[in-house]
Amino acid sequence: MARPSVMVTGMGVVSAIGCSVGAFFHALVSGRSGVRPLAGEGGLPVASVEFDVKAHFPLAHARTLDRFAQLGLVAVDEAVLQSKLQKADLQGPRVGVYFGSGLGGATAIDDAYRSFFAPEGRVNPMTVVLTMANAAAAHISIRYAIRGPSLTYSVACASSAVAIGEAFRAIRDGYIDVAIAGGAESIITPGSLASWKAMRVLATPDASHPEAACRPFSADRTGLVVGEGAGALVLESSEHAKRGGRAPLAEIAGYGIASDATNLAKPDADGQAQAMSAALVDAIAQPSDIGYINAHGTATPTGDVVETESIRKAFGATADRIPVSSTKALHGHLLGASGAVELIAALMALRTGTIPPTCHLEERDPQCDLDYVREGARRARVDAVMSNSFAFGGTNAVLVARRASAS
Amino acid sequence: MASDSIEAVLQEDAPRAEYSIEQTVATMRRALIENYGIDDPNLSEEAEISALGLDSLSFVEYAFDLETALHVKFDDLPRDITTIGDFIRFVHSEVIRQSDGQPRD
Repeated sequence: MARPSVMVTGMGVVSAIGCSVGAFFHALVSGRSGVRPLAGEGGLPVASVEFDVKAHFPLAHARTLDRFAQLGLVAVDEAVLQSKLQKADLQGPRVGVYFGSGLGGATAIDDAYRSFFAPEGRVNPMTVVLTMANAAAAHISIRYAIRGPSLTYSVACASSAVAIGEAFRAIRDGYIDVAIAGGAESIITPGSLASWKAMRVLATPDASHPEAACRPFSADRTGLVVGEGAGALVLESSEHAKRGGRAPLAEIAGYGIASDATNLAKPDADGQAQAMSAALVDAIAQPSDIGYINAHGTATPTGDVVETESIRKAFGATADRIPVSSTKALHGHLLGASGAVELIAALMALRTGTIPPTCHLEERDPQCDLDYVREGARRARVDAVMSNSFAFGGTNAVLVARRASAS
Repeated sequence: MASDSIEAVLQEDAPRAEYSIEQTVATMRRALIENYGIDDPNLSEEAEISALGLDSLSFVEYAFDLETALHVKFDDLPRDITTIGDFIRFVHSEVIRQSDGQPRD
C-alpha cells in the first residue's frame, strides 16, 4: 500500500519583518530588514517582534503564556485559518502537535532568577508552566482540543525543522492524518543575550547601518543576529485534505536528519551533507530537481564556509546552478523557530516563483562561492526547494518540499 | 530616657486606624482588574471561586499578586476556601494578623 503524500494546507509566521506570511514574504523579497540596535545592550543588533499581546489574548490568558508561547499560538492561528480546518476537524485523536523550541520560556526564566536573587526571593508560582519547553505545544493542544500526540522537540537551532520532519513522518507512516507543526522562540532577554554574547558568536554593533548587521556569506560578516518569532504549518495527508476539499499549498517531500558527532558548536560539512543527501533520497529527488536552497546561513565566520562546503558535497557539480540564500539577513536567527520560518520562506518561493535574496552581501567571502542571489529577489520557476537547519550539538535537519501539483 | 524614645513611645500609643475589610476587598478587586482584566460587578461573596474565571494555577498566581499588593505572606491557601467570601475573609484575616491592623497598601 502506497504511503500518503503529506500536504501543507496552512502557514503562519510571526517575525520581526511581519506577523503574517504575506507581510513576512513581502519584506523578504523587498529586502526590508527587521534588525535594530537594542537599547541598553550597547546597540547590540537584534530582530525583535513588534507584538501587541492585548490584541491577541485576554489579560488573564496572556499571563499563563511566556512570550515564545504567545508568538507560537499567533502563528498557529494564522496557519489554521488558512487551512480552513474547523475546530471540530482538529479534535480527534488522529491530529497531533509537533512543535520546537530551543529554550522554552526564556522571559519567565529571566524573571524567575531576577525574583529569586532579589531580597525577598519570591518566585512566581506560574514559573514552571511558563518556562517548560513544551508550553507552546501544550497551549496549542488545549486551544484546539487536539487529542493526539503533543510533542516538543528541543534540538537547538534545528528544533522546528525536526518537529516538521517528525510530523511529516507521522502522517506519512499513517499514525495521524493532521499535524500542527512548527516552532517558536523568544530569547531577547538580558540573561539569554549575556549567554550568547559570552560565546562571541553575535554580530558586532554597526552604528552606521544597524539594519545590515547580519551579512551571511559576506567577506565582512561578523556573526549572527538573534531574532525571535514563530512559524507554523498545517500538514495533512493528501487524502485527508482532499476529503475536506482543501487545496494543498505544497507537498513536504523529504526529511533528512544526521548528526555531526564531532563538536558541540563547530559545524561539520560531512554531517550536514549527509542530512541533505538523506532528504533528497527521502523525497526521491535528484540534486538537479532542487530549484532553491534556503540556507541555514547564520553569518558566523565558520558556519557559512562549512555550509558552502556541505552543499558542494551533497550536490556535486549541480551546486553551482542552484540559487542559495539566507533570509536571516533580514529576520535574524530565530533559533528553534528558524527551521519553520525559513521553510515557509522556501515554500513561498515555490508558490510565487520568486526567490528571496541574501541581503547585505556586497563582497562575498572567497570561500563562499555559490550563487547566493545577492542581486535582489529573483524570478524563476521553482519545482522543489530545500531548507537547511543546523544545530549546536551537531544535529542537522533538512526538509525538501515540492509543488503540490507535481506530486 | 532620651527624647526620641519618648516620641517613639507616644507614637506607639497613638490611636490607629483599623485596616478595614473594604480596603482589602478594594485591593483584591484592583489586582483582579489590573492583572487579569476581570471586572464583573455581578460577583457576589456567595459565588464560588471558579466564578472569578481563573483556573487553579492562575488562582495561585492571583494569591501571589495579593501577597505583593498587601505586603503579606500566605504560608498556604486553606483547602476549605470555596466561595469568594471565604477567600476575602482569609486574605483580610492575614492582613490584620501580619500587619497589626495597619494599612500598608
